[in-house]
Amino acid sequence: MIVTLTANPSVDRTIEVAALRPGTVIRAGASRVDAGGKGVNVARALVAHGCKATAVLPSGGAEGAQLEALLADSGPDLVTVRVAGSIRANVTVVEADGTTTKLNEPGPRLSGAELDALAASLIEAAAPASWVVLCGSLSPGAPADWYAGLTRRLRGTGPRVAIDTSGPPLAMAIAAQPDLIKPNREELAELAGRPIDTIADVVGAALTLTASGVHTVLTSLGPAGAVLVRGDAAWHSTAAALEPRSTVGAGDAMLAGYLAAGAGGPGALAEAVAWGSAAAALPGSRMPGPGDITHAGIHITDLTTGNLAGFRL
Amino acid sequence: MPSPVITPDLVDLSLEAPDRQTATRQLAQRLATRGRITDLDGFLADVTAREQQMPTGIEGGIGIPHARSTFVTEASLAFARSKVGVDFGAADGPAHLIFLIAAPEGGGSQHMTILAALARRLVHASFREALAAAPDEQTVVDIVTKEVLGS
Repeated sequence: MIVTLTANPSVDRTIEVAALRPGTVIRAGASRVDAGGKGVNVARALVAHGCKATAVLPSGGAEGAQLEALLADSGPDLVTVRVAGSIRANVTVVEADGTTTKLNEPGPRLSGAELDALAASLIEAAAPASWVVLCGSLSPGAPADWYAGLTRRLRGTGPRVAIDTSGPPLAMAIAAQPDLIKPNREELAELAGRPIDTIADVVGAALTLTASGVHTVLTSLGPAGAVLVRGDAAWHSTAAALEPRSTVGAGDAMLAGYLAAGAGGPGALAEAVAWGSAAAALPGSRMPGPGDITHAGIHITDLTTGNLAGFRL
Repeated sequence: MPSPVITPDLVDLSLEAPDRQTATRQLAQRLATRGRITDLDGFLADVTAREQQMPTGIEGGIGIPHARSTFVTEASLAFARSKVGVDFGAADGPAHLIFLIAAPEGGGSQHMTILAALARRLVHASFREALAAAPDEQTVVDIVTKEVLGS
């Protein structure tokens, strides 16, 4: 069983328009509403594949009720922590030519007591879990080392800890030596303090993180696939090019696939890339089910032998 | 060649400040005096905005206020030691070691790299104790340059 924490979840409305012109009234075409947040996505992807997953999240206001209703249909067990503020509503506008504009609210400011309650619910839900996944941005007011603190509290209690976030919360969480992080190219470059232009750069930067005590670094590279570094071993994997429709949630599906496949070496990496590329081929933040995933065209290269290392991203 | 990120005149071994705003202002003043920031109030507004969004007090008596700001001319790290401590929002009490990270807007990733390296070193009690016991400003600069900035 896998537990995900979504510290700042959302109700995501995606609206299609012909073209977005500021300052005018625009008649919208199709629209859809999804439960949003990285942890929510990871849990949805796992459940779609018959894995047991629990999503822990704060909930409040009319948007919180809507979020819970949306998630009731898609399956993960929910542990909600009541908060005074309203969960955020994010709006994505997609134009006919594919241009995507996102308007993301900051989310409710959680009080110290609310943050403590969320942490306590997570620790309790995590007791029987194999993995705990700490995902996404923090809610306003949460301290920068909040994920780092949770990682330390979870250490030695049983579950392994994966972190998928960015900025100061990621920088500080590294110091708590989580079992797994899933940065993208930009986040890895920030942590390493140098540009990431080649596969060799990815491996080099990830190795500095594994050397400092992070067990596994799974770096998502968009169309260039993903690089897995565990200890001093490294692999690169790509998928056959599917027509990408929405990269929203692709990294979340990739992380879910990696964990569902046992979070090991090249086999789990192949599964991760299969799930990630399937998610990119689906609209909005829809998570792939077993029928959406193809393993044909998944390619794995062992980087320990130096193959491909100079490949430019 | 860029200036060193931290120099002895960016170190305050006996900071006295009642709150995090004053502490941050005193450290930022050192940056302004050296021409590392062009507008003290503008820079402090950027730090305060960040701090309200996400307090930077971390376990072990540490505060790491930071901002990437248009008013910063070069990546800088200022350090202060406070005997009584300054509240930076950490659950386990006030900060006795305070780092102010200032990075230019569009200054690449140096800001997050310094933050990650600091967080990683600050886990170790030996690093915190060395800073707490440093007899002079140059010793602090030497410790931080070697352990955090990796040069």
